[in-house]
Amino acid sequence: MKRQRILYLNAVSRSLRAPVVGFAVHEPVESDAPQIEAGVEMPYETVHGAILDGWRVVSFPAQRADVDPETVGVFGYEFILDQLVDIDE
Amino acid sequence: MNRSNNSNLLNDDEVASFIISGYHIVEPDLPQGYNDEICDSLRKMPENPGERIVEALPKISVVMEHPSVIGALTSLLGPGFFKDPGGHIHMNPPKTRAQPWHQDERFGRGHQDRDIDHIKHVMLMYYPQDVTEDMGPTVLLPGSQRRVAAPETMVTLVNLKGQVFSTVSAGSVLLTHYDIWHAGTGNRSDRVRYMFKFLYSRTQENTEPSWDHDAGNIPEVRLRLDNEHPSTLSRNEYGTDHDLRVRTWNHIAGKAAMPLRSEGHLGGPWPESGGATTASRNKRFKPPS
Repeated sequence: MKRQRILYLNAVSRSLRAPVVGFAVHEPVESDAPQIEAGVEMPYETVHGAILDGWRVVSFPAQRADVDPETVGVFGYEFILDQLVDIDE
Repeated sequence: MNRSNNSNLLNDDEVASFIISGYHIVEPDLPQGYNDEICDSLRKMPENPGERIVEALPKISVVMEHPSVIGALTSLLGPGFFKDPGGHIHMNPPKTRAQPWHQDERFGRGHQDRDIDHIKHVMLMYYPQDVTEDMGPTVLLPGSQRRVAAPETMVTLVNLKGQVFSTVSAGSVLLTHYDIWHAGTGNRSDRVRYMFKFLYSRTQENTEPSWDHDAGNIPEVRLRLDNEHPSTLSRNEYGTDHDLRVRTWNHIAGKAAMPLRSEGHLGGPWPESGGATTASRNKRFKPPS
């Protein structure tokens, strides 16, 4: 059967070509949630790079027109991507 | 940078680093065997003494009263700083998982009440044993002390560019801005990792730098505050983050404050292609470190 792999990518802007500064992969199997680990590299430099590798964007980050000019706030712009993979049962 | 003989205080470069990144590591020369004694005492404790840690383990004061620790705290919080009551021991046994990213909360403060342009509170973390990468070191996100973000916005964040793991040698003291994003990570080793945590607070505003300051260092400090952005900033946050860095310096520097904006930052030779100056183009297109 096919299941969704989910990839969160945090980029520094809403552009698909913006540098990625955060990620998390959720595998479609019974497992613990991904966690902070030393020595890991960003899997892709940009969201566009992930698309070239077969990931599909399923959620785009919202615009932030109301950013407080006095505040540095939410970390990055969150894209959610998926891949359908075959799982043996 | 210039430095006087007052070696227990931080110098301008170290204070600038703390403002930019939000942490500083002190390595006090503790008595021979001290760290092992602390670990032995912890292993013999039937339970965690909680906020009564100093009463339960009075010799912990050796760390807190060490001149290099006092010097660093004085540099960051001013001469009248005080230790908040209590403290905690964190024990991270084998086979734990990482905590999620978080900022510590304080009683009576909401998650949006952060010291984004000041140093009012410093967290002291003392590690009585070596902490290797597999022992669940504390992870920090440099520069994140200037972010005001609801906990809800952090729940999907896991591995972030620029995250720093406090892999340290026994006896190291990690000082952090209270509001820095941090987490304990998973202990994959077969050893317990202990960490003591105490909160220190400022009691008065500085009228002059409380560290080993030399006015001749101001241009180098300025250069660092102007240019050392966290690599994780969004495009629309660069200006704000810069201003917060300079405002932090000004809040703790007293009469050594500096203008918010550097003069003539768009001056200089015409660029080879587009933009205001070659310097501004180079600055904009400087790859993240």
